[in-house]
Amino acid sequence: MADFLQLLVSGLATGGIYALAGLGFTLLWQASGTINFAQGEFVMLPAFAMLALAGLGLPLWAAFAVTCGLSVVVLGWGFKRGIADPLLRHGHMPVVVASLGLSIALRNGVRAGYSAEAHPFPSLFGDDLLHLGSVAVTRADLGTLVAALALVVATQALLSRTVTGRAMQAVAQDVDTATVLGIDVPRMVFYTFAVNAILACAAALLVAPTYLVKFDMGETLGTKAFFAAVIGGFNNARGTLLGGLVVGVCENLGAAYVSASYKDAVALAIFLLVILVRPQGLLGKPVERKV
Amino acid sequence: MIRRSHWLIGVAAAVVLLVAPALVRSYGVYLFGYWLVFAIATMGLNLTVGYAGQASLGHAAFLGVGAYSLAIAMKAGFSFWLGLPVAAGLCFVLGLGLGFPALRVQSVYLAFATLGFNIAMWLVMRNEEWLTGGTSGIDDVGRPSLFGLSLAGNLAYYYFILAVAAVLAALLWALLRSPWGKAFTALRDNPIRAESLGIDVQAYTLLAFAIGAAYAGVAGALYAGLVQFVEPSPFSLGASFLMYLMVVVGGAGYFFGPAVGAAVGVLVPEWLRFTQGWYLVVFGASVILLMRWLPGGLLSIPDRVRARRAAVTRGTP
Amino acid sequence: MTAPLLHVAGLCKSYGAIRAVQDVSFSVMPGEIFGVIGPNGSGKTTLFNTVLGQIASTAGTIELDGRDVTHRSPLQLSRCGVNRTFQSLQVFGRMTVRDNLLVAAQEHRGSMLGRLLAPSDCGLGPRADELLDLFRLRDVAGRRAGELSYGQQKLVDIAMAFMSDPVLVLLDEPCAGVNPTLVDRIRELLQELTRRAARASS
Repeated sequence: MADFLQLLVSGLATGGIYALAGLGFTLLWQASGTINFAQGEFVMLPAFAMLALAGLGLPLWAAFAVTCGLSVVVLGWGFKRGIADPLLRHGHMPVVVASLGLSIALRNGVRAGYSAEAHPFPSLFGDDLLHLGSVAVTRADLGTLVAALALVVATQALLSRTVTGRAMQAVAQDVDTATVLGIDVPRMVFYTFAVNAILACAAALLVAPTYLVKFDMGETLGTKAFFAAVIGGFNNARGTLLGGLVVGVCENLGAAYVSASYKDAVALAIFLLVILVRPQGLLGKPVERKV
Repeated sequence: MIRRSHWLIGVAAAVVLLVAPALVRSYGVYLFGYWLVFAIATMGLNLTVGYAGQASLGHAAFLGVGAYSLAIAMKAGFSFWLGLPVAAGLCFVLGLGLGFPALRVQSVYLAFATLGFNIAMWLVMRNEEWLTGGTSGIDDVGRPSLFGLSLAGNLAYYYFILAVAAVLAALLWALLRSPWGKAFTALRDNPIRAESLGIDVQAYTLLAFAIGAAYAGVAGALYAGLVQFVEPSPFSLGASFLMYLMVVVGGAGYFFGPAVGAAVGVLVPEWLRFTQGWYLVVFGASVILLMRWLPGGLLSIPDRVRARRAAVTRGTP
Repeated sequence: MTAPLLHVAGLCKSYGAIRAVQDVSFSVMPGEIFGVIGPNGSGKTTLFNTVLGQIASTAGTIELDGRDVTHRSPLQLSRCGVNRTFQSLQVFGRMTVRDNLLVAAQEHRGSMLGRLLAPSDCGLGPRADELLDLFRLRDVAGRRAGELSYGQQKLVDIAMAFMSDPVLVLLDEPCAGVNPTLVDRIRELLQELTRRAARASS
C-alpha cells in the first residue's frame, strides 16, 4: 500500500511536468493552430542553458530568469517568425513536418555540437524524504507537483483575470471577431508563444534534476505532452492538467504492476481510447462541424 | 497525350533501371534495390497521404510488419512466395484497423494516432523476443527461387525487386485512373461535398490506409530479403518521418513523386556521410527550408513555373 | 391526387434556447420547383441541413416518396436520390470540370468493387456531355474547376447536383453572388432540367 502511494505521488509529479509542457502545447494550438513537435527540445535547450549559466557562476534563480528571457526571444519569437507564421497558411501538416525537422536538428545539434552525455542538474528541493504517515515521498516529487500545479493555476489566472489574458483567449476562440474588436492579434499570438517558452523553461527546471540533462531528454516528453493535452481536452487548460496527471500516474502504476517495457505505450493507449470513445477529451466540450 | 519530353524521360529511366545496376559494384546494386524498396513503400504512403489526403506518420510500422512476417514465415520453413502475400495481407488488415481512428479524428490528431501506432508496433518488435528476436532480430533471411532459378544473387534479386515494383506501379496507375481515383481525390479536397454526392467517405478512408499499408508490407518483405537481417531500428518513428518526407519531397499526389522522393531519401544520406554527427542537423534544417520554399515537392516545380507564367501573361503579379 | 415527393411535418431544430427551425411543414410535389424565402439568419440553411441529415432535428418528420427518412445520413439520402448544393461554392478545384461531373454521379453506378474495374468515366460520359452542352461548359470541360470564374464554378456546382438523375435537388442560394444575366440563365436551366426529368419519368 505504501508502495502504491509512493508510485502515485511520483506519478503525479511526473504528470505535473507533462501538464506544463502540454499546457503550452494547448495554448499554441488554440491561439494559432500550431503543433509544435519540438516541444520536448524547447524543454531540453533551456535545461542546458541554465546549466551553462550556472556553470559561469550565476545563482540558479538568475540562470532561470536569463534563460526565460532567451527562450522567449529564440523559442518564442524566433519560432513564430521563422516557422509558424510562414507555414500556417499552407495548413496544419507543414508546421508539423517543419517542427519535426526542427526537433531533429536541435537534438542532434546539441549532441554533435555541445555534449552527448548526461549531466546532473542541481535540485531545487533537496534529496531528503518526507514521511507522511506510513508513506515516504521525496521532497522533490512533492515540490515538483506543487510547483507545477501553481504554474498551471497562475497561467489560468493570467488568461481569465487579466485584460491581456482575455484578449489572448478571444484570439484563440475567433480570430476574425478579435480583429474586429481591435485586438492586436499578432501580438496576442506572440504572447502565447512567449508563455509557451516560459512554461517549457519551468518544466526544464523541474524535470532536469530527476532525469538529468541530455540531448535526448525531450524526445518522449513532447509526444506525451501532446497525448496529455488531448486526453484532457484540447480546448481546456484544466483539462491539460488532468490529462497530464492521469498519464503520469497510469504510466507509473502500469510500469510497476503490468509491464515495465511497455511504459511508453501507456500514454498512447489512453490517448487512443479517448479519441475513439470521447474525442473531445475528458474535460473538453464537443466541437460541432459547421457546413 | 504523351509529349516527346516524356518519351525521352521514360526511355532514359528504363535504361537506368535495367542497365545501370549491371555496370556498378555490388554496393551500387544494393543501393538501387534499397531505393526501389522505399519507392514501393512510399507509393503506398502517397496514396494515403497525397491522393486521399489523410495524415499518416506511422508508415514504417507496416514496413516492419511486412519484413518480420516474411522473416518469421521463412524461419518457420515456408516459402518466400507464401511469405510475400501473407505480409501484404496482414498489413492490409492492420491498415484497415489504423483507418478507424481516421474516421473519428482528422489532420493533426490523426497524425498523432498514427505516430502512436508506430510506437506501439516498434515496442512489440523490440519486446516480444519469442516472436521477433527482440533487439537481436532475425538473421539469415533467405531469398526466393523462381522455377528452380535462384534469385539469391545480388543482381538477380535486384531485377526481382524491379519486376515487383513495376507490377505494383502499374496496379496503382490503374487504380488511380479508375473511378476510385476520383473518389480519393474528392475525399481529399472536400469530404463534406463528397459525402453529399454519395461517396462513401468512410469506406474510402479505410481503403486508403489499407492499400497504402499493403504496399509497405510488400516493400518490407522485399527489404527483409535484400538486407537479410531484420531488427527493430529501421522501423522506428524516425523512419516513418523519413518516408513521409519522401512523399513530400517528391511531391504529394504526383504519381512519380515516390520514385523521386525515395531517390533523394536514399542518396542524400550517402552524400552527407562525411558530415558524420552533423548529418541529422543538416537534414532537420533542410526539412524546414523545404517546407518554407517548396511545400509541393520537386515535381510541383513545373506546375509552379506554369502558374507563374500564366499570372504574368494575365497581368497579375 | 398525386403523393408529394417530399413531405416535411412539424420540423424543429433548437440550439439550446435558440429555436432555429420551429414547427416547419411543407410539401413538394413531383415536377414542382419550390422556393424557400427568408431574410439572412432566418434558418434556411439550417432547415436544409436538417432535412438532408447533416444535423439532427429535435422534432418532426421528413418523408421522401412516402418513406420516413427523418434520421438518414447525407450518404443514405444521396443513395435515395436526393442531392444538394451548398451556400458556399463547393466544387473540387483541382479536378477538371468533366471529372467534377463524373465524380458527382459515379457512386450510384454499380458496386464499390465493380467501380475499381470499371472504365475511368464509369459509363457516365454521355450524361456528362449532355449537361456540359446544356450548361454551355463544353469548351472549359478540360480545365481545372478552380481556374474558372465564380459564375462558371457556380454552374459546375449546380450541374454536379443533377448528374446522377436525382429525384430531388435542394439548392442553397444558387444565385448568390452572381450577376443578373447569370441569374436568368440559372432560372432557365432549372426549369429545363425539371422539364427533362418529368419527360423521362412519364
